[in-house]
Amino acid sequence: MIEVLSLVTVRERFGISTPRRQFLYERLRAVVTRLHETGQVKHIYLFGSFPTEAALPNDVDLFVVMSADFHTTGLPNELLAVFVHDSCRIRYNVDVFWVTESIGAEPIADALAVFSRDRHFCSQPIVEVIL
Amino acid sequence: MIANDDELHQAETAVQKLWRFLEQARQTHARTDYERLAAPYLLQIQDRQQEILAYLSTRPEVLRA
Repeated sequence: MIEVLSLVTVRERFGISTPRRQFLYERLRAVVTRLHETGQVKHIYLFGSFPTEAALPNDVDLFVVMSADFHTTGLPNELLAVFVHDSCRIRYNVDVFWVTESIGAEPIADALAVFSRDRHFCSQPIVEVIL
Repeated sequence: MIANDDELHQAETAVQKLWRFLEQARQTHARTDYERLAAPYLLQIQDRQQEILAYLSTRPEVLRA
């Protein structure tokens, strides 16, 4: 089950309790802001250790679905950095797994199924982040 | 780390789903977009395949010891 939370609620629940979480929340907020600046973001799913009870999450993991007609060519550099894995990791400590809706619903559901399990094969939460 | 055959099968299923995801993405995205989006999925596949190989390279008796 995917919980839908506003960015403000994500901060209250996961972005305050430790300095590490405060640091990562600010990076998450920056990436979410950049994604919305494209005007073509459809869904932003937060998964991994950040939306859990872990005191010291290593990073932030996002699965992002863009509109079917989204392209990265022509994006200004500050927006393009969010869609280039190495740049986004270095700049924001965020792993962005992105795709467009053109891939179809079934592969997106499959990816969400994979991301709903941690590396120890235990169920982990997925949060859809809205503004 | 994979600890038993059930987890092995879960890891294999996850790799197959990510593999099919990329196969589909290659067909539905422009070349530049595909090359930019593929990296984290490829790293996930690589990590999980390495865990599978590590598990399969060891006999069950050794794992239980």
